[in-house]
Amino acid sequence: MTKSDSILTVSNVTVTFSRWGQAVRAVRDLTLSLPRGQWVMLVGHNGSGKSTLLRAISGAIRPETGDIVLTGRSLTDMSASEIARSVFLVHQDPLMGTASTLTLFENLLVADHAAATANCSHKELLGKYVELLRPLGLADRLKQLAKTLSGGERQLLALLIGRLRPSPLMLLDEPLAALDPAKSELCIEQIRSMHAAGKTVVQVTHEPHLALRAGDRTVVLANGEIVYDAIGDDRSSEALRRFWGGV
Amino acid sequence: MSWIVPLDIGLLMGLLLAWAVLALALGFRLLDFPDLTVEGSFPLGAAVFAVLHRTGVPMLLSIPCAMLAGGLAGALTGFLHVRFRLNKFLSGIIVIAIAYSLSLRIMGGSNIGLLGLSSVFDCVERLEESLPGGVHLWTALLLVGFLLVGSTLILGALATRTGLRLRVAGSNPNYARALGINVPANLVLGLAATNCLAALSGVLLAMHQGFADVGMGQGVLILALAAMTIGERLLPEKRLPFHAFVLVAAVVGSVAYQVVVAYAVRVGLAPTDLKLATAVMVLAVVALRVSRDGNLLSEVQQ
Amino acid sequence: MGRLAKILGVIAVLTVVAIVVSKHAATPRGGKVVAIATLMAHPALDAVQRNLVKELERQGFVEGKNVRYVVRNANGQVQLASNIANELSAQGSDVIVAITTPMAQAVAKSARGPVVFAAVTDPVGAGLISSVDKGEVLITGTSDAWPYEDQLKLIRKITPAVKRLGVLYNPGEAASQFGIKEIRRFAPSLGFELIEGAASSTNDVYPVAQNLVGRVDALFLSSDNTVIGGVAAAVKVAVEHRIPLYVGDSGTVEKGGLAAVSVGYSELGTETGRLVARMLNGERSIPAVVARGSEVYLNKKAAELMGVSIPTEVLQSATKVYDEIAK
Repeated sequence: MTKSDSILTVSNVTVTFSRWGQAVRAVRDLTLSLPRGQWVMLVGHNGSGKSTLLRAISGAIRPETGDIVLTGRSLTDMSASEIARSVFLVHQDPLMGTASTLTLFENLLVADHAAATANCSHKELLGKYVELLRPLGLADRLKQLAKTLSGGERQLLALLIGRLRPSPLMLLDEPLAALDPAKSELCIEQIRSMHAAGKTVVQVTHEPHLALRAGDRTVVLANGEIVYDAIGDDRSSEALRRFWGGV
Repeated sequence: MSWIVPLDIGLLMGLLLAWAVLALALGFRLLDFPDLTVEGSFPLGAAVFAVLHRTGVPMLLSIPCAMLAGGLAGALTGFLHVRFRLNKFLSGIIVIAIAYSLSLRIMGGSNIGLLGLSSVFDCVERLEESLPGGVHLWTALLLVGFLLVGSTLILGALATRTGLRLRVAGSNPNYARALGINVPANLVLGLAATNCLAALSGVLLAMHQGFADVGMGQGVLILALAAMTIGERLLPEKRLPFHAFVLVAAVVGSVAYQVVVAYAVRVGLAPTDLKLATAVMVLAVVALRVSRDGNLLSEVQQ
Repeated sequence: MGRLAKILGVIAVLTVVAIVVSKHAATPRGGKVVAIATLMAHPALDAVQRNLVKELERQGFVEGKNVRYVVRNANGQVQLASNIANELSAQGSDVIVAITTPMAQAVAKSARGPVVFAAVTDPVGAGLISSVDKGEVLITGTSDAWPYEDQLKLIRKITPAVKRLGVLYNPGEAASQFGIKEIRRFAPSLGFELIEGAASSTNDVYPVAQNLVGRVDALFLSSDNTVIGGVAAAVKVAVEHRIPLYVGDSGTVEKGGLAAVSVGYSELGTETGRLVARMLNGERSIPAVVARGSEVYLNKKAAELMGVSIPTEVLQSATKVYDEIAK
């Protein structure tokens, strides 16, 4: 794999926090490269550094050492809006990925980069969003405030917003954590279509089943380091159990 | 009969001050910013208007200038908050102090009389001279007209892409950042816009009462807060889109509050008891509707 | 929209009822109604109100017999002025008395009947009337402008040798803006050469006074809340350099000013009462009255410390003589 076809390159990144005066090294000298279009399942125990890694990649925190290269450019050279156009992070908490005092329509519109540049008519947009919301069972709620949705519905909306973003890289931090099985299934469907549309996906999960079956690649983190990294059919439940203990 | 006069006065004053209540409510609900600046931008608007209008600048030019002055005060509050990470309240308090001194300086004194100068109420006041009992029917209708036009413009602006970004920045700053929205810039812009409204309120009151006084801002903040609370408790929140609800609640609350103040004045309450009476009434409304404080207003964002 | 519609509906109906009913509004059972609106409670303003009622009684308008008072107080809240003015105008009173400048402006704006203002420093500047000397239809009143001419005359009487007079004032105050113009008007004819010192805050009073002392024969404080607030500093400078310090009200004399001619607020109330009585008797165009300085206050201790001996005739004419400088 050459550098040019990799969408994300994390090189020797270390992230240190200060927690109650004590330095906590959340990510240690981590190196990772993602080819365009890959769907990576990221697993690890609580505190293993998964969320910290995602936050560093999304530009929310700055690594102490090392470099993160997104779509060929170093994160430190990119402006906030350039980063926002390159990467999008969906949180575990559904409330964090939507604006509660905007309607569903407005939530989609404000995130829809294509609509902003393409100069679509209001009617076209309505039609487009109804089609997008229909599989989620939310088509008739286009004019309602996001705060009227349940947690699961809001997470579906957040993922749909991610689909509308121009960013080629999607970071999903346990998007299914608070959802019932039916909603989980819909969410997975969303991620699948996002992936099919060409987005590179990094998804954190605690579901052993998903970690092994979904996506193209599984990466296990422990104490801020990569301890297991396998692609496609090479992934084995035995190895996963050894490094993670989840299966 | 006598009970009708306070209703008329309350309606009139409520419609005049509704703009200041709107300024506070929009800052509070859409930008999540408890903006104290209204207490400063209100008299500042009146001061700038009075000085310009008295030196012969046409009324229709003086009003936008006054609104701009109020807007700058609001922008300064936002700037202090985002640039120096100053507490939201402290930023507002500092700007109130600046606006007070500035108003004094601009006016070259504490008071400017506007009696005999043209005002937007001239035409309607002439019509009212034929009305019996000094009822301000036409003035009130004119003010309702202003509010309708203003609300339409505000609602329209909030629905544009810029408006949407502003609302996302206020509603969920972290999410706004993920969308590449410049949250600090939007906050400064939003506060500038709301304080334009507060300044307009000051201008309208100055025109109506015939003078601008540096002390006329005192108490506007409390009054606006009380009016906003009452309005939100009186209105059925589920029937309106969120921002329309905020707008209508501000106007309805402003009128309701001023009607009560007018009744209190009418009864001839001792000055010492007047504030207590209005405080009791605000508490009464809040207590009566406390069960209705559903998820809309109390929801902790994110 | 149910509840909103109801609320708006009620307001609309009540407004219509108001128009219909107000046609039948009757003036309260015989006699005259005098409405009094004031911005705040304040010893001087209360004195105006008390003496106004007393004077009207002397003129035959006795409360509870043939005149009724409606009193409103804005408790210092300027935005309430308009509310009160509108309310009193709707009452249909025979005369509205408005005490203080903002209240007078608000009442003048909304009233349709006679208005008498009181305790307005500069009624022309406030836009209430176009000139103090000419009568204006339906509006008159009393001004509490300081009697600057009388004050300057008192300075001449006590210290005839003074030529260069230093005036301390804050250019940011409306009353001083008015005052300094008056002082400039009267000073030359009384043989004074003015040297002005601008103090924009209480803290500026000491340095500005120090700066003046070498160049003046006496100091004078205009009607200015800033400078009066810092009067102790001016007293200190005057005592140190043994030059007289003249002021303009009794309170400041007590604090160490040498002498003052002060506005008599009781007298102002009486004058206002006379104007109200004339309005009640049907007069419509009456010139405004400017308060005459009538009350002379002196401080013997300050005179001693500043090296001034007060002539006996001035001492005899004084309303009150203080023997000590109040802390």
